[in-house]
Parts: sequence; structure tokens; C-alpha cells
Amino acid sequence: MKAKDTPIKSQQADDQNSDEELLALYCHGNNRAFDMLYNRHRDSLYRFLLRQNNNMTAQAEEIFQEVWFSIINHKKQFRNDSKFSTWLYQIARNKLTDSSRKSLSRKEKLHDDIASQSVESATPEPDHKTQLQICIELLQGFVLQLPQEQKEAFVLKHDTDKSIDDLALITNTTHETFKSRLRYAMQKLRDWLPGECL
Amino acid sequence: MNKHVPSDPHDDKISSLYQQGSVETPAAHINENIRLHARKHSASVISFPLRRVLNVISSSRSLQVAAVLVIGVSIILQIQFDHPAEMSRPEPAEYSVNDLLADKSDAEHGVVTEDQLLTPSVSSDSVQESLAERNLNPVARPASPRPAMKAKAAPEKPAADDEMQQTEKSETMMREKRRLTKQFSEEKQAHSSHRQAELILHSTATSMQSVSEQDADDLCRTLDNAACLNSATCVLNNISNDLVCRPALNHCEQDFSQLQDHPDLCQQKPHCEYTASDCNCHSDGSCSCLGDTPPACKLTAGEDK
Repeated sequence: MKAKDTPIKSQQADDQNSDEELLALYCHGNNRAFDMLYNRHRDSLYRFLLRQNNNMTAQAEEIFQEVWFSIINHKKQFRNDSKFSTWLYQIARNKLTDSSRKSLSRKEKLHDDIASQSVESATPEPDHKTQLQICIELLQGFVLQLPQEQKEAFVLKHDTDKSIDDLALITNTTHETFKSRLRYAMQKLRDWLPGECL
Repeated sequence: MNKHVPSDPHDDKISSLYQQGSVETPAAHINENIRLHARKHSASVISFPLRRVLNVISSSRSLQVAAVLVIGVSIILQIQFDHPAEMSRPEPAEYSVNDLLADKSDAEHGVVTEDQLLTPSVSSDSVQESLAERNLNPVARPASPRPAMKAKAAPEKPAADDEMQQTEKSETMMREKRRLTKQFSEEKQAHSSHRQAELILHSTATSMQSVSEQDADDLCRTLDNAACLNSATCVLNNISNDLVCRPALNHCEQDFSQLQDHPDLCQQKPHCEYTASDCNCHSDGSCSCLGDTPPACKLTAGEDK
């Protein structure tokens, strides 16, 4: 933590501030602190939501906004005994759950469509794309086909800079359970990806 | 990204592939929406205490009622401050006609009571003039309870030589009392309306005051000579060689037009006698009468029943 003896209102937000300090500064009207906080977590949260929504951009953007609006509206409810990122992703997961309940049947249908597209796209197209691009697309398609909990664990592990303990806290599981989910996910991806991609 | 590297050697390749393809970012308009929302709520945080107070005030009906009461009391206090005499003025209804007559007689004898000072000046003047017109002796009024400070000024009762004259004076006094009662009733109503208007519309208090202080009952004075002669409720009378229009005082004068009605209409009334004269009225409303005395239907004897 930075300069704890300095009054919070007179502090300037910078890169050395922790997430929690930036949020506290924003609660006192420092908009720059919010911008820094947002920039830190923007991309990783967006990708997490994008994967959880099977790369459906519209749905991911909608939930992405809802998450940040919720953060802004309830910023004073943040408990300083936890990490901001944990709070952020817990809110995101809750929003995902609400969204999936609202359109469960539609999402299942979309999931099936995307899975079939991913299987179809597994055929290499060397004329137009490089081998690396093809492997990346194949991997992204296979990630979406992972079971929900394994997919979540894989995406959180690779799109955020969090420890296993933090990720277990976010997903409301234990350290071992999260590691187990992640191990199963990696095993499936290894099995699905062609040998030239590994 | 993560330092917790999986154990399988292929996992590094998978992680690398995934991270190379994971480059999506939210659209610019999404970023803008979120930042705008953040700034909007940041500004509201700064003004939150004041906004909260305003919300409480605007949403509380009891506070609204209290505010209205405070404003009303403030207006009343302001009126009292601006017009202390009017606000402390006694209600005309509590002021009897006998007291008024007594006050008038006191005034004629140089005694001015506090009530007189607080009573609308128009009423005092009209009574005083009415008494002067009829040359009435104030002591001739019927006895009535009087405040001690007023009674000390009452003159002694003069000796009555002519019984008929006494009867006429008594009858005239009763007429005067009845007229003044009516006048005061109307004046009280006008006064009450005036006070209400003051409380509700302070901005129009000045104009309302001028209206209420006008002697609406004494319309006869506003009439010119010709109109007074034609009126059935007013009488044009010669007082000190001056033609004065005054209200009809008795049943003879009432409902009798000095200029239009036939003398027989006067003679048909009991104890009434017609005094003929000839008046010539001009276009400007002024009239000149023979001997400076307009025709009149006068009370001769008996009571006005």
C-alpha cells in the first residue's frame, strides 16, 4: 500500500497504487484512479466474458458493461479485506449466471452451433492462413468446447494474472479443486489439438 | 501471464497459443460509456450530502406541510410588522352601535377614546356627519351601558319642551341605529375579507386596504344633486344653505323619489307630509331649487312602524 499516512483525498493516482487504493481514490472523486483501475482489468475481464459467452461479442459486451456499472454503483460496498480483482470477477460470474438463466435454451443452441463450427474449422486452410493462425483458431474453438467449469478455470488461468488461490476464491472453490479443473482442461486440449500445433 | 506453470511440457505451448490469440478488447464506445458512467457517479458522490438532504425534503410530506406553515406564519408576522394598527384593530362586530354613537358624542365633546382611534375613519366621519346633518343631540340616544371613561363626558339631558319633537328625535335615533348596524355589518364583512386577503395575498394588501376603507354604504354622497333627487333611498337636503345628499332616515323618505314620485305617494304614508318645491337640474347634475329647499316627504308625528 502506498502512503497510508497521507489523506486519501490528497493522494494522486499512479501505477504504483494497488487496486484497492485506486478504488478508494475513486470513491473520493478521483476519476483518474478509476481510469487506471479500469485499464488494468478491462481486457482480461472482457476476454473472460467473451469466452464464457462462446465468443459472442454482443452478449459479452452487455455483461461487461453491467459488471462495471455494478462496480461503479456499489463501489462503497467493497470490503477492504478482500482483493478488488476477486470482487470484480465474482460480480462478473454472478452476471454470467443471471444471463445464462435468462437465455439458457438460446445459449445451448448457440453453443452447439459454435461447437460444430469449431469442429468444421478444424480442417486446416493453409492457402489463406499461417500454421500459427490455424492453431490459434483451433485452440480457441476447443476451449469453447470444454465443460463450463474447466473452461472457466482455463480462461481465468490464462487471461488473468492471479494465483491459484485467488482464482479458487473467485470461483468459490478450493485450491485443489481449481487445479484439478485446470488439469482436466489442459489434458483435453492436448488431446484435441493436432500434433503440428504442439 | 500466470507463474504457476503446468507440469506437462505441452502445456506451455497451449498457453502460448492461447495467449497469442487472446487479443480481444472491448469496443471504444463501451469504454466511453463506462467512463462516462464512472464520472457521473463520481460527481454525485461529491454532492451526495446535499442531494440527500434535498431528497429527504422533497419526499417528505410532513416537511412540506411544515414548510407551508412556516411560510404562512412568516407572512402573518410580516403583515403585523408592516401594519400593526390594522392587525390589532378590534373586530367591528364587538363594537356596538350604542358605543359608536357614544363615541361620536364624545368626539363632539372633545373626548377621543382608544376605540375611536382604532376604528376605520370613514365610519367615524359618516356617523359624525349624519349626526350633524340632523342636528341631533347625542345625549338624546337611548341609554346604554357605557365604559366609565366615556360616561364621564356625557352631558346632562336637556329639558324637552315639545313631546312631538322628542318622539321624532327618538324615532330618528332608532333609524340611525338601524342604519349604522347595517353599515357596520357590511363594514365588518369588508374588513374580514380584507384581513383574509392580506394573509393570503400579501402583495395585494395595499389595494385591498384602500377598497375596504371606502364607505360602500354611503353611496348617497357619491350621487350628484339630480341623481339624489331621483333616488328612492337618498334624500337631497338643505343643510346650512348647502344641498347635501344623505340616506333616507325614515319611512317617509324611504322609497320616495323627491323628483319623480307624486306627492300623494308621500301623503299616503302615515305621519308623512309632503313639502312642495321646484327644482331645476342641469346637465352636469347640479340642481337649483326654489328657496334652496328641495321637495321632501317629512315625518310629522307617530312612530315609524
